[in-house]
Order: sequence, then structure tokens, then C-alpha cells
Amino acid sequence: MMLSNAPQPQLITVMPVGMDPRKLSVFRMAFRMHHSHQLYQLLDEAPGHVPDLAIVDVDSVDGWNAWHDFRASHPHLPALIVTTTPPRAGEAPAAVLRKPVRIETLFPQMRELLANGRTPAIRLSATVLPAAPAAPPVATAPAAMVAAPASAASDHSAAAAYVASVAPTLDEVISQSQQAHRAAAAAQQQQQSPAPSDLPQLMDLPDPVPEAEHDTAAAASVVRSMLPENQSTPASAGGKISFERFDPSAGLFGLVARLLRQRTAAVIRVREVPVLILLPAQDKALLLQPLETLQPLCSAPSHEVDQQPYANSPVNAAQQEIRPQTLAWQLAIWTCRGRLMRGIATDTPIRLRYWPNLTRLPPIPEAMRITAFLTRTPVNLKLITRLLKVPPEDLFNYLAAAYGIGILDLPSRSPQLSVISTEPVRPGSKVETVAAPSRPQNTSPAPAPSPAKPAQGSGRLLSRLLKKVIGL
Amino acid sequence: MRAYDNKIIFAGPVGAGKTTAIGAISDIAPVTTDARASDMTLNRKDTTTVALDYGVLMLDENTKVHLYGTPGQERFDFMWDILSQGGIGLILLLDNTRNNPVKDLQFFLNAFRDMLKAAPLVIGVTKTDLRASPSIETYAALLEKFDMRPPIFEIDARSREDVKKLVLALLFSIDPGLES
Repeated sequence: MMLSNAPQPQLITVMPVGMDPRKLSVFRMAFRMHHSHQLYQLLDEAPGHVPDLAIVDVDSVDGWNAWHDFRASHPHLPALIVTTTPPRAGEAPAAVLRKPVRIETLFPQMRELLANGRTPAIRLSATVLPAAPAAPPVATAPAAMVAAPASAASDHSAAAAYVASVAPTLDEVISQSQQAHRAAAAAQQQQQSPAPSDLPQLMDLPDPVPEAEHDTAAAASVVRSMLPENQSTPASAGGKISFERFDPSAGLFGLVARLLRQRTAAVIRVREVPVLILLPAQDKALLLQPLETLQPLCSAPSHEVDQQPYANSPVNAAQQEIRPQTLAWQLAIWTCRGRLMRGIATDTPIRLRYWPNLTRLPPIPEAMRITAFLTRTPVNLKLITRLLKVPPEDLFNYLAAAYGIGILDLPSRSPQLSVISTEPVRPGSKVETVAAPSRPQNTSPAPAPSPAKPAQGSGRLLSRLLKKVIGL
Repeated sequence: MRAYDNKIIFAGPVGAGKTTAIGAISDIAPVTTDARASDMTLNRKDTTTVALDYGVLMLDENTKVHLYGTPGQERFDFMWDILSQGGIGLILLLDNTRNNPVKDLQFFLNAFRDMLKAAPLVIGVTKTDLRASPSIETYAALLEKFDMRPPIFEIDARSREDVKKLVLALLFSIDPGLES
């Protein structure tokens, strides 16, 4: 895969003021989603950098004191004020962006600030008002990052604040994605009838499709989002970006996943040799061979895997009892091997019904981070990879495992998928397909901490706490 | 802005493992205020926490994250509000061997509802080796009906790795993009 010679983007460092970790999280996510000739980063991610501009939230308990303190210490730094209650025209000391902050207004406003090198006119959403040095009234009540819907106030989850804060943007993206799905599905239905499936509708997958190459742009978009920020967009020799896919309804894994959803007890055989007994109603599976011996069997084609009714006959050869969810999760990893499961296109909205029991399931790198994101709101591969920057093989393994235990919410009928090629996405070969970011070593002791200095804010505190906990 | 007070709250019924969980990750020997149980608690263990448990995670010599364990008995529930104010998040431990752990879940969600409007929740279910039901999936499906999707893990409160995962889930619930 060759890399283009695109110019290096300009890196802009933004100093946040008056924000707690959740608000910082929203801006961090927004900055990661933004791709242009300017890349934005928060100051706490680049300690030592000189900030290019500041975003001051005056809805905290400190109210406008946050602004005054900031301006006293940074008299010349361009700044943008964000608030749910903008002051009257002419009364704001700097540009004001009314919440909810939207990406399509945030970035133009920041560009304007940078271009002018001074405090520009106030912007109330799309309304331009003149600025004046007079201090506005102090905001006393804490407010969310955005004007959250009323229902969010009673939400018991941290997701509420986040979803409320980014919903305008994510919803739009997802809505566009779903519209594209509906259009594609409608076109597909005109051409062919859907094949019968024994999977519940929630987990229904599109019919197998011949390999095609009309999803190149979407795949390329995902690949771009997986690249480190300072790396240019890749292009393969033939202009094709590839994900190897696999059929999650096939083989040993497919059979186990299906029987679990149907809660059907059965003896599962591979090449006519019984390998395990599945007892979903009893929440257990009996392995007739050591678990490790099932790994190579995950590559067995579907016609070599079958099931027989379980007749409550005594099991003499049971080697191990295991929970069915653990079994399905492990089989998914062995079957997936870093490939994207059929049924998920780059713009398919994905959501988890709930968190998997990660303390008792075989580990998948970055599983915690992926889960936290996918339980918040439906997102597609483009957004996941752009925002989390997890290695694709880890993400694909995770999605397959989540599918295996039945917690992956997919549209009931996804559009026909495009399989670009079968280039594998595996360690050692992934370079040719996706230039994935290196995997954080979150299972090893944390590196030596940077020189001690006072915390720069609660966002920094959480990062340091994360490092501490990982290193325990 | 919600003022963080650098503390994580461990809550749950008597015997769920709050004291043990704090001890599993604390940088100091946990400070406990156990006393000999003299009520129904005696049916479950000899001593119980009558005020609070305290542990700490030292980020550097000047920065600490405090770990507070609330007393499990309802008659100390006035402590819960005091302790939970400004917390980074709530780790709720449920004892699966109790008579009705689902009812315990509902009780504590209600008791900490004010904190949970602004802070994330993580649930650890203990003693599943002694009683497997309700399963994690049962708890999750129940919460899903209320559009709640908090992390729910089976844990052994004595296991540092398990308790670590609870805290990690708490942090990523605040910000999935959080980096160390």
C-alpha cells in the first residue's frame, strides 16, 4: 500500500477552560472526528504546547469568573465562549457560541478566531453580534455541555450527558447512514427476495453476496480514520482498500451462536466426532475435548459441522464445563481472526444492548473502551475507528464476539455488503490492508509517570487515574 | 461544572464486599470502622462497617483519589448523601447470595439517584460462585428496560484484577476516548 504525499495538516492546540471531564470528552471526540487541513487537540493531550486558542465554558459553578481568570492570565489568547445563556448583543467580551455546540459551527468559528488572531464578533449559533468588554451577568446554575433534552435529566447513566451533548451531530450522521441503508435495502429488495434465515430479526444478516468492489470509498474512509493523525491517506496499488470478511453464520461458531439464540440443547459434531454438548437452558456447555482443540476446528467448513439432539444421555467424556457465553465469545475470536463479519457495512449503525461480562470472558484488547462507546449510542465503523482509533483486528474480533453472545444490535436488514477483497487483516499482514494505530499496552505496567506537577484539571486527573489503575 | 472531589464511592448491601474491594486496590491498608455486628447483620458476618471504609490511590505525592465505602446498613443511609457528593462515580456491589439481589439493586439505584444523575454507575456482582442466579444477563436485561446500560461484571472482591476492571469501566464510562 502506498502513501500519498498529502501536505501535513496544521496542528491547533486548544486550551479548555471551565470544563469537567465530560465536556472535555465531547470536545476531544469532536476534534477526532474533524479531518481537514487543520487538526485540533486539547492542551491536556499536549502538555508543553503553547495554546493557539481557548474555549471557555462559563456555565460551570465558577460562572464568568472562569472567563475573568482566564483572561487575566492569557490577555492575548484568542478565545471562544460557550454557554447556554449568551449575554445580550454587545455585552460579551469575546465570541460566543451558543450551546448546543455543533460541529458545523464550532470549527468555522475556531478557524475565524485563528485567522483574525483576535476576538471576533460574537456568534449566537448563526447570528453575528458585536462584542463589548463589559462582563455579562454571572451564570450561577451548573449546566450541561449542551441544552440537553428533558429526559436526560433523569438518566442514571453517564451516557446521558455525552449522548445529549453530541446527539445533534451523531444523530445526523446516523440518520444519514440509516437513510442510505433504507435506500440500498429498497433497491436490493426490488432485485431479489431475502433468503430465509433462522436468526432472530434483531440479529438478521444480509444474504451472502458475491464479492464486489463498490464499497471502496466507504472502506477507504474507515481506513483513513484508523490512521494516525499525522499519517496520510493510504491507497493500494489498485486503489482498493480491503477488509477480509467472514460469515458468522457458518461453521462451528455459527452453529453454536445460532443454538444459543434458539436456546436449543444439542450435541455438536465436527467431522462426525462429538466435540461439545450445548445446554443453554442450564447455562452451561460440556466440552468433550479440551477447549484448545476447538481452535483449529473453527476453520472447518459448515458441511463438516452438524448437530444431534441431546437425549440426556450420560456424558462420560466431558472434559470441562464452561459457560455458553464464554464458549461463544472464545469461538468468535478464533473464527474471526481480525476479519470483519458479514452483516456490517462501514456505515451500519451498531449498538450493544448491554455490557458483556468482561471479567469472565476471554480478553480482547480495547474491549472496555469499545464497549463503553457502543453502549452509549448507535455508531458506525467510521465513527468508531475515527474516535477510538483501536486496531481494526481488535474491533472486528470484538464485534464478532458480541454477536456471538447476542448483544450486538444491528439493523434488521442491512444493505447488501461489498466485499472488496480477501486481504487478511492479521498481525504481520495488516500493513498491506490498513495502517492501524499501534495497540496501547494497557495490560502491562504503566510507563514511568511524567515529572510530577499539579493536575491541570479533572480530565488530566482521570487520565492519570487510568494510568495508575492500569499499572496496579 | 460538576466539581469532582477525587473520590470513588463503593456502595452495596452488607456483606457484598465493599471493604474487601477497596483493600484490593488501595495503596494504603484500608481504614475501616468495623464493629461487632449486633443485629441482623450478624447472620451474614461477624463484623460490619458502621461508618465508612477508606482507601486511597496515590497518583503522585500530592494527588490522591479517595476510595470510600459506604456502610451497608440502611440506618446509616444519611452517610450516603454526604459521601457521594462530588464523587467521580459509583461502584455498586451486589451480593448474589442475598435473598433478593434484584431488589437490592433497585434500592441502591434509588438511594443514589441524585448522584447518578451526574456520575456513572458500575455494578459488580459478588459470590456468583455460590449462587449463579440472577445471572449478569438477567441484571443487564432488567436495566435495559429502563434504558440503562451500565457495566455489570461478575467479580471476586478479593481479586485486584476484577476490582481494577470495575474502576476502568467507570473511567471509560465517563470518556471512552480517555487515554493514559
